[in-house]
Amino acid sequence: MNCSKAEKLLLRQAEGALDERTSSCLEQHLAACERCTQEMADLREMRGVLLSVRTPAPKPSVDFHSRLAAELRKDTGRQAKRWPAILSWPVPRPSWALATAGAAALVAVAGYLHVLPELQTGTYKTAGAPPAATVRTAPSPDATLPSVASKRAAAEKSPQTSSAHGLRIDRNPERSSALHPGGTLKQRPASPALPEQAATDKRPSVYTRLPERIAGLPVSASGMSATEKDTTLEAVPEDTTPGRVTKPLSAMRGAATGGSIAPMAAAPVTGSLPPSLGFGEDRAFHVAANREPEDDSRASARGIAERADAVQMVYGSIDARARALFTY
Amino acid sequence: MQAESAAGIGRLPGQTTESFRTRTTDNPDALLVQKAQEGDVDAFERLVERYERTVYAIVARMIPSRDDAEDLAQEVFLQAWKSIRRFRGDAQFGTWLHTITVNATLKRIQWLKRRDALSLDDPELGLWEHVADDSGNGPLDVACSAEARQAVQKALAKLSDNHRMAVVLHYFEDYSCDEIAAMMQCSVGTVWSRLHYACKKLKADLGTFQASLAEQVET
Repeated sequence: MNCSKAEKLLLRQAEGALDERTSSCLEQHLAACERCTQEMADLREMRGVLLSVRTPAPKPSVDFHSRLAAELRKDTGRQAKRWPAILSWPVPRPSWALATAGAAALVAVAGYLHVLPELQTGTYKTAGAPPAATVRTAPSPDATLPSVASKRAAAEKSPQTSSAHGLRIDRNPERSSALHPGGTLKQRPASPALPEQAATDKRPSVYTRLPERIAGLPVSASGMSATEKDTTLEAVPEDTTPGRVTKPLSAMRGAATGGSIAPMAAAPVTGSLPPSLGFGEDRAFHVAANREPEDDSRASARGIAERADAVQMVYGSIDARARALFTY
Repeated sequence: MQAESAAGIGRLPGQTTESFRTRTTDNPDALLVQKAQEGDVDAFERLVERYERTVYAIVARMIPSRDDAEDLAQEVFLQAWKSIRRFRGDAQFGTWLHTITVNATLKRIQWLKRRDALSLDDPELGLWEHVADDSGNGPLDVACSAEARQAVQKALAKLSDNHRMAVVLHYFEDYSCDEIAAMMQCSVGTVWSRLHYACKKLKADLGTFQASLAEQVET
């Protein structure tokens, strides 16, 4: 036994708390170690001093018990007022853990309600998120509705926000490049706008596909030409460029049903979606189609990727807000 | 004192009624604790009568003022009354109550120190009042001279709260190191270590006076 181990056992040895075997080992060490022997003597001496000055336990005052009994009954009365007897036992009372869980639930609901309008309108975005939105809002031509007008103003301030109102589809490569500097969308060159081609394009079939593209669903190959499948959807501000060829939907339908449908669409077309599509009469749009065909699988994959990006953006933003709330 | 506090209080989860009754017959505190858990104030007052001296002794040896000590002892019992429904009987009721006492006392001392209201140096107050306040017979008369009183009092006041609490519980209240470990929620080895350190510190603080004091005590 060394001094380090013996030192920890000295007081126990002085008080007789060691077993016989350990005690004999310690005694052997003490016989050979003067330093530990001296410390053992000091501990015994101090223990004697402390025990010698020990006195009987102090007693409380005479009225200690009566005062305590009064406090106990007073506290019992308060508890009975707060908790009816049927709830006092054995039902556990709300604890801090329960209160904390309730507060956390309130914070979560408040955060969800805070972002709910943006989630419903699709304008939710997070700081640092890539501008990968493929559908953007354009102001509605119908300014009589306050909600539409306000959303138009918001869309003009922030052209990257998307909305179900005033959708426009653009295939202008220059504007598309300007609006998508990140290049997340596949930009394809478009031919100059030709009024003749625009009048004879298969636009109605593309328009009927518009809600599905907006919703991020993959586009099926049935009933669509390769050009239509390769259409890039973008929402741009209301086109006021002089000389830009626009055509109402009714005119496009008339041209389409006339039998002289051109296979390719070169010019951007603006029109109104029919109410049956769920967008209302006041929704203007602009469609641009890429000339190069694209496989169904690529179109589907792109749609799924866009959908995944949007979901990731929303969840990332919710997580960031939750972290900010809890940090605060 | 500890013999009064019986073992095994309260109904454990899954425990049968027969075994609980067996335990209550072996444990005089068990029935009172059970009634107190059901809201019986009278039963809890019986428990207070059993433990008020031990609780007050621990508090009074650590808190200088008698009024403060009584207030704190009452707070300990009130706290025990409020939380007795959470007592599951894993330990003795006395150990559970004394654990509350130790924690409340250490907490109150810290609060008093922050308010600069603690003055153990006052010879008329504090630990010395309960260490050597009886002018009994024998060697204590010699040891408790004014000079010796002041020296031991100052040496004890220099100890940390945990070390002083260990000394009070072991040497003044005669608790075993196992019981102190349960009260202070530490290991038995930690208790022995604290006592060892406290004795060495007391000897160093007492200095040369310690030898003469020990000599007086021995005589």
